[in-house]
Amino acid sequence: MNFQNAMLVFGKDWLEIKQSKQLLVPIFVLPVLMVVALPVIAVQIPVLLISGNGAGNVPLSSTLTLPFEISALTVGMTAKQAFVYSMSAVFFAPFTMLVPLIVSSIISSDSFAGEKERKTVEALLASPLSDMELLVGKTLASFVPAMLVTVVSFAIYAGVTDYLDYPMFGYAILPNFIWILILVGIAPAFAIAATGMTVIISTRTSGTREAQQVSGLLVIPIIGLLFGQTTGVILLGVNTLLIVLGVMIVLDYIILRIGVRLFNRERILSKL
Amino acid sequence: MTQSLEGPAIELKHLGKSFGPFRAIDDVSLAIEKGEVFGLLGPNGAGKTTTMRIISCLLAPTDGDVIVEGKSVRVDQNRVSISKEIGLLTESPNVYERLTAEQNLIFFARAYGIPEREIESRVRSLLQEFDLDSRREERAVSFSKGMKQKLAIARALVHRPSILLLDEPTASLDAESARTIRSQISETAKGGGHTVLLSTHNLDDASRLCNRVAFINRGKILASGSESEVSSLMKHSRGKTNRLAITLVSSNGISPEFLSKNLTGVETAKIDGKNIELVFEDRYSNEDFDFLTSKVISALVANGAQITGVVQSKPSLEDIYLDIVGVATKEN
Repeated sequence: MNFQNAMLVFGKDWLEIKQSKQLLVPIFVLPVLMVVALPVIAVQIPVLLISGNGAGNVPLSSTLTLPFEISALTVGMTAKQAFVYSMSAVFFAPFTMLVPLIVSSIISSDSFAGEKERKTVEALLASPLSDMELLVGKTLASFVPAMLVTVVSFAIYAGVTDYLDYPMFGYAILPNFIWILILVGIAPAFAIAATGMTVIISTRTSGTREAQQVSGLLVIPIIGLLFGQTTGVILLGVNTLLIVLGVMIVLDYIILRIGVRLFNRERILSKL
Repeated sequence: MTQSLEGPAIELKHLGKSFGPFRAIDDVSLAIEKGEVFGLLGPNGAGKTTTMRIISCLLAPTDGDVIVEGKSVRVDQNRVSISKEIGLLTESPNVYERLTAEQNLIFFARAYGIPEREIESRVRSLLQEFDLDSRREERAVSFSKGMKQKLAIARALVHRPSILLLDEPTASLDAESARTIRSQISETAKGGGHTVLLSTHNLDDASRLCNRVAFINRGKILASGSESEVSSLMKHSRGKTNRLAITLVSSNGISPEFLSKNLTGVETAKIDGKNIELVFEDRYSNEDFDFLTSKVISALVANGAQITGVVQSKPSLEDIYLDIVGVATKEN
């Protein structure tokens, strides 16, 4: 494989992404909502609980029956600080996983199934570029923007959170180890899985919607994590994240193996 | 591009392609010579696009082989060199609409490994040739269908291929754009010395552009050759008959009996005032008909007739196509 050729495909797709409002709008809507809304929610809830009329009666101690992993992180904090910390630094962490997943599935479905839908893929496949160069180039074209959006949105999220929470803590609470682990391990793993799922489905369909829907199935485990946290069944502490990372690495390996095997000219064209 | 000196540009040898139980191409053998414009004519679903995809290494043959400039498409290592010999224009104007005309051509020039120092001049000259230079920095989404098709042809030529595969180049274009594209193809074929394989169901395009044609239906070749060669394979007389209408200053001294007796191949002869109408026997090809026409004129002149007009009526490519493909469709 000639990596320069893969970068050529990446560059072409990158140019296309930059020119498409249909892609840019959904790519930025969720992260923007997340980085602004979540820190505000994290700060406002304990304020309401303490000073609101009815909410003030809710004993904070009952809301802060935190699992061991969180308790270990909140040692020495007041109840209000512990609540804000748990929300900002732990409970909202799964939302960060949604960003690479959604962004990469939007871009990769446009890149793989979209080329079939727009019937530009045949000329591309007729070029001397190899299957692997096309696959790597297109995978990078969805992975790199997904990670860029994730890192930038996290940076903004951390900035907003620290700006709002600094008066309460006297120091910046983000980034912490959980978020760094998510950024360098879990988020890339989800981005790769979403891209791989799209590659697989793109060889069998010629529509971006179908490709997005199938790669969107990866949202289910994240929603499961969110529910798990809400109900107290699961907590995204370091140990849980390491298990998720391990599972995702195995899943990525399987998805990519299948994707590489299925990504060939004949299979792509036979569904045109 | 380097070309093998001997042998046809493209040779299909007992080519077969199946998609599951469906037989898309069945035992197709053809040889397309270097520098010729060859038309592959057939209805939708006949197997034209599949044939082109096999030639350009996009699909693997199930049976048989295709030799492109001396290289077999069955050998994986030949894919890159074959793809560099071929410029492919696919059915719809499939350019990257979010990119500019220039970006489209630059991307494909790089994909085909054109040296960086040559790309700018090559792209600029193609944009000028196809009358797109003034809009080179505009995104293709704003182009008309005709302009997109021009850009797609320019893209197919950016690596200077020896063979052009054109799949329905004028389909879905308005009459004016179709004419522009047709003349562009004609100039490209003549000027660049390309071998052109034109897949179409537009018989007018084929008649104007092609040296030879092949009729394909349900994956089988029904007839191939020059227009007059395929006309000799017509199975019905509908449209086949060669007719000759001659106008004289006066028909004095010319009788139907004279015409039937003295002229070879005439089946019926009618004289109506100054006008003579001759219908020739079915067995003559278009070339024979031309020869017989000259003999008729010579015989009439030798008999003292003064001729003011001669109109030949031959079967068109459409007549031939409808006869051969229509019969095959009914038989199936």
